[in-house]
Amino acid sequence: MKLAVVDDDADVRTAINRLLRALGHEVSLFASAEEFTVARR
Amino acid sequence: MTPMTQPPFEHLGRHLIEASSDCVKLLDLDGRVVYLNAAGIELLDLCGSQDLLGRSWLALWEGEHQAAARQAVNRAKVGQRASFEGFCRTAAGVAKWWDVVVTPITNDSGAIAQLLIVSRDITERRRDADFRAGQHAVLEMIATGASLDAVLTRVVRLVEDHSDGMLCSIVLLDEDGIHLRRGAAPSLPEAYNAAIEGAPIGPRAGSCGTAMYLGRQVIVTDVLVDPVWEAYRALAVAHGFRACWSTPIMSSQKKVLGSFAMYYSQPRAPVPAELRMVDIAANISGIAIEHQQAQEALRHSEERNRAILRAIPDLMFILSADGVYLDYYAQDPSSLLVPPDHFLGKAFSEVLPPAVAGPIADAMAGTLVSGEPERIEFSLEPGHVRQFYEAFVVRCDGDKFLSIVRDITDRKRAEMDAAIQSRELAHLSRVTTLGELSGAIAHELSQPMAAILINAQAARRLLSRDPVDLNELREVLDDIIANDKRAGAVIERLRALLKKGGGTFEPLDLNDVVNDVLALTRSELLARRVSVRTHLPSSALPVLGDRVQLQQVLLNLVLNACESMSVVDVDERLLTVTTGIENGFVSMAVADRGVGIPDDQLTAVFEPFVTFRERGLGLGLAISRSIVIAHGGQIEARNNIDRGATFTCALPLRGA
Repeated sequence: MKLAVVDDDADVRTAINRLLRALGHEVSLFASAEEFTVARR
Repeated sequence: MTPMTQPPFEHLGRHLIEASSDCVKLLDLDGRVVYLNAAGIELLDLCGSQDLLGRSWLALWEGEHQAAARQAVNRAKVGQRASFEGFCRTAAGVAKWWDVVVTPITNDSGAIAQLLIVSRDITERRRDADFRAGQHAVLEMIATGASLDAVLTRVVRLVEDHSDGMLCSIVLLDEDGIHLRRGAAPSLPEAYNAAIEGAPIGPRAGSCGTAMYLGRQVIVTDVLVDPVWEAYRALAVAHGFRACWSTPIMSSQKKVLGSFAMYYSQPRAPVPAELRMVDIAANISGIAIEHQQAQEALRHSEERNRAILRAIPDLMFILSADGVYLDYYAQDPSSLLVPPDHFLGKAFSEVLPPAVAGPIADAMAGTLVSGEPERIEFSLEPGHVRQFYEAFVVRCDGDKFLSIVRDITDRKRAEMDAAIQSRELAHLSRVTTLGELSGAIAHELSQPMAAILINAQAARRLLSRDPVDLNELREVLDDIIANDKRAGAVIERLRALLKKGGGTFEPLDLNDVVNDVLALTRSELLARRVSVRTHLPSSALPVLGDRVQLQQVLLNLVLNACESMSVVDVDERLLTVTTGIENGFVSMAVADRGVGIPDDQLTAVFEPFVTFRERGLGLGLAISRSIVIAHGGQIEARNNIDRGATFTCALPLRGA
């Protein structure tokens, strides 16, 4: 599964990325909602 | 005695008539006097009956009195007994009132032959009644508040009207008990009145001055011979006065108030009727003077009260038994906070906030029980500045309340200034501020905790893989340690700020203080959607100070800036923190783009109780200033050219 993670805290973002990848997901990370919407376009 | 033409009465009857003290006359049917008794001769000031015999009786009367006499005669002529009261002068010109009875007298054949006139002199009775009516009129004047001058003048006129050829004068004794003052003497020459005004009383000071000095009546029958008049003889003679009787006017406490005098142009002694009249006049005058003195004393006391009122700065309110504002007094109306029509006629519980109204209600209840004034303190916040008051509540006017309110803001502020110097208040303020930040701080703690938890879960997953990626596992453990330290740092900063004490100065880098505070407020700033820009030099900013206290200063400035920007657009919410070194001082500036500060308040914002924040105690900046000053530094506020305000602290550079 492809997942997008949006969190303003870098440490939390890194940890979530690590966990989801360990569970076998494909993850892309975003620091804010704006960053996410820009990347989606 | 002239012989009678035809005496119509018996021997006894004649004696009765001759002995009568009334004036008895007989008229023929033409109205001519045919008989007059001895009393009549005397009463009419005649030499003998021949002065009147044969003359018309009606001609003795004048005007309305003659009409009354004619009517009585006409009725008697038709057989009716008639009477009237009339006024007629005697041969000597003395004014007299008469009670007259006219009776028809028949002859042997039953026809009316003559008229019997019996006239009684009632002048005295009329005068007494008239004088009494005059007294009542004067008393009424006193009761209805006529001026003393008008009352005394009326008394003088009254007595003058009831005695022939006599002039009256009332003089007053000055408050000093020594000098004569004008009372009322409308008939005396002004030159005479002016001459005796201010003269001292004494044992030989004319009739009045002596009567007041001795406190008893002084009768001078001839001023030319009486030693009492020695000094004033020429004056009296110049104005044609020969006799002067004076009676002191006494108060109800037997104090001499003045004197009542009667002047005559001829030497003479008083008759009892005149002495009675002067006693009454002196009495009434005494009542009038005392009444006026009492009024004056009351007026003086009211004036004194008003003067006292004007001199005291307190506010005063009269409240009804159920707490409705009835009246107020304010030396400076602006100290009322609201216009009078906002509270007059309203209950205090409607006008004042519950936190103030409650204690006032308690004070009212308290003073009702104790009868003693109850003291309370309260505060109101009409604008940006909290005002402190102390009020004394006491009963007055029966069931009403008097509340005396004093503005004690200056005193409170001085007390607060002293308290701010103490660490207790700085600590309290820190705790309050951190309380406001608690939501944000919880978030600040929950982030590393979440990272730790997720990393631990990821590590467990990684362990179940084969082969285990040891490098990745090491990274995870490093992150767990880092996040634990991060959480620990938050707790450490919090603990430092929450700790009492402080005041221990140590070498510091001011940039560290800035970073600590921005870390602590990061979540709060995010929640308030405030962006932060920092201009911090890479080199250290060495100061000697108390880390916690300096954090507190910056914390206040940052939170004030956020508050100031809460009403502006999100895009505009920019907080800029700039540090640097200038002229031997380390500076730290916090700029916002908020609403700014009214220009006249740029200094006042550092005073206690001045606040522009919704929930503020109005102590943050006062404490900040106190801290900066304790560090040997300065703090100031100014408005930015475009928008918002900048607070700048300058602290001495360590080692400079």
